[in-house]
Amino acid sequence: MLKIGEIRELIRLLDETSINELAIETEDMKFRLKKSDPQVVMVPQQGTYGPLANPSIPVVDSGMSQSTLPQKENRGDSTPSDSASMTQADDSLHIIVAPMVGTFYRAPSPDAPVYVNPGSKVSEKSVVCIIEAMKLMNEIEAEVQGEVIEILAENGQLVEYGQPLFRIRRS
Amino acid sequence: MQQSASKRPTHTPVTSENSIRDSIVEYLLGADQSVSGELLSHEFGITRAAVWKHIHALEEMGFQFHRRHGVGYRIERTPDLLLGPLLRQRLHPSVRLGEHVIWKKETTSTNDDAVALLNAKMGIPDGTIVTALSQSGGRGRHGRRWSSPEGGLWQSIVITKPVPLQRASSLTLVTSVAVRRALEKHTQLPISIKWPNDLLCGGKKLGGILAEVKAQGETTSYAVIGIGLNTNVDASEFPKEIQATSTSVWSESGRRISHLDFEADLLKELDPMISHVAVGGAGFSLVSDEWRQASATLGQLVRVSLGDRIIEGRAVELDDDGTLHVDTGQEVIKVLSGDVLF
Repeated sequence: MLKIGEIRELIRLLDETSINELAIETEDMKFRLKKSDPQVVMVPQQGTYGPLANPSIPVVDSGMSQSTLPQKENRGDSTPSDSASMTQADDSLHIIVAPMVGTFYRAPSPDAPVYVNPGSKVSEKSVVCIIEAMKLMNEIEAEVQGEVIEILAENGQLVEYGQPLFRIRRS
Repeated sequence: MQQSASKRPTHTPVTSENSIRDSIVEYLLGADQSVSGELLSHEFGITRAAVWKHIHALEEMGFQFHRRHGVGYRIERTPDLLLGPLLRQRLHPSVRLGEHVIWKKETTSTNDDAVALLNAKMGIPDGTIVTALSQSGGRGRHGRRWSSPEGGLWQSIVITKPVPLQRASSLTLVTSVAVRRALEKHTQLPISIKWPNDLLCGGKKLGGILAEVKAQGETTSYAVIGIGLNTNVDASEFPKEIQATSTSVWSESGRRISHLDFEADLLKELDPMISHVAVGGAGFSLVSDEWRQASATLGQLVRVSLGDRIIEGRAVELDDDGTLHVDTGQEVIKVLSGDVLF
């Protein structure tokens, strides 16, 4: 299976070329990277371990299509009109993704109040969470002005590179 | 102390008061004879009374001056404080870390100070060290209190050169290796490392490292590496709740170390490692074997608190990303962050 770093390299490489699509197939995995509809899908051929085996994990921040949102968002009968409204809403939605692998914390310490809740108003510089790896604390900023719509990760959870953490409605 | 001040750039003003104080020290260290108060007043554009005030403050910090009426001041003795001009004298010529130092008598937390200065865009140069004699709000992981009385070495190293975010966590790991090298050289104590970066002596905690970064996209806009070391403090004066688990250089060896000499060696070890991580090089893997050899964790049965759960198993491997592999018997769990409990 490809490592996160390798996938990142591939995305960068693809970005620098005029190639639109890249497919890799080996015994234990299929990997497809496509530019026009940015999304990365890794399909486990057999029992694989780890969060990457979840095909719904997006690795691309911008232009995220509905299918790359976590599965619970996707459940139910999605009619064409649903997709249409979703696409429309996408313009005002900003997804904050994890810029590194680590543990997701909603507060600076266990007994401190959380940085944000659904409904919290944020500005570009508002800290929304911390991601920790090996006692390196990375404060994540909202990057946009708006309102927190949904928090997509649990406090204390291990998050992967590129995993969506927050949905923010721009204002 | 008559060796001439090095050819390094002089201290960048951060607070003008401290900058003048440090400049006076630098000037006196570089002079080969006594310097009159009048000359100092002229040189730094301050009154004679202000010169006297600075000299007096320096005496309070432990400097001793030879004063002769009509001749002026000459430094006779310098204290073991991490002041910019004193540290610069000892820095290895190739070392860029530590060229700039912000020294305080007391602060809440050197990490907080460094982050506040960086967020205020105060133009803190890369490699600046923020240090204080004591911290009232020193802390570890999850905001846990870190006792930091006078006598210990409390500092934060500011890295403003961009570091690839995916490599940033190795900053704390390479730092633990550099600190261990310098500690062993200056104390002759056996020092081990508890995953990911605690320094131990005889199973008790001697020091810890906590880094904070802010990123822009995929690279850091800054990293602040906080290092707290129980050096010249008496461990029997630690708060009761940490006495069973903490120790100090002084309590283990019966000796104090020179903070200035220690720091110069630490920075000499750390400087190339950080540069390597920053350019996206192998970074930690260069010293990971040393980490493994010094590890107090590998091969041990450990309990690891992952925040939402506790896992138990044998710490079987540390990979070159610094991830700890714990074999629980059912599966091997890769641990990126957590508290290792013995």
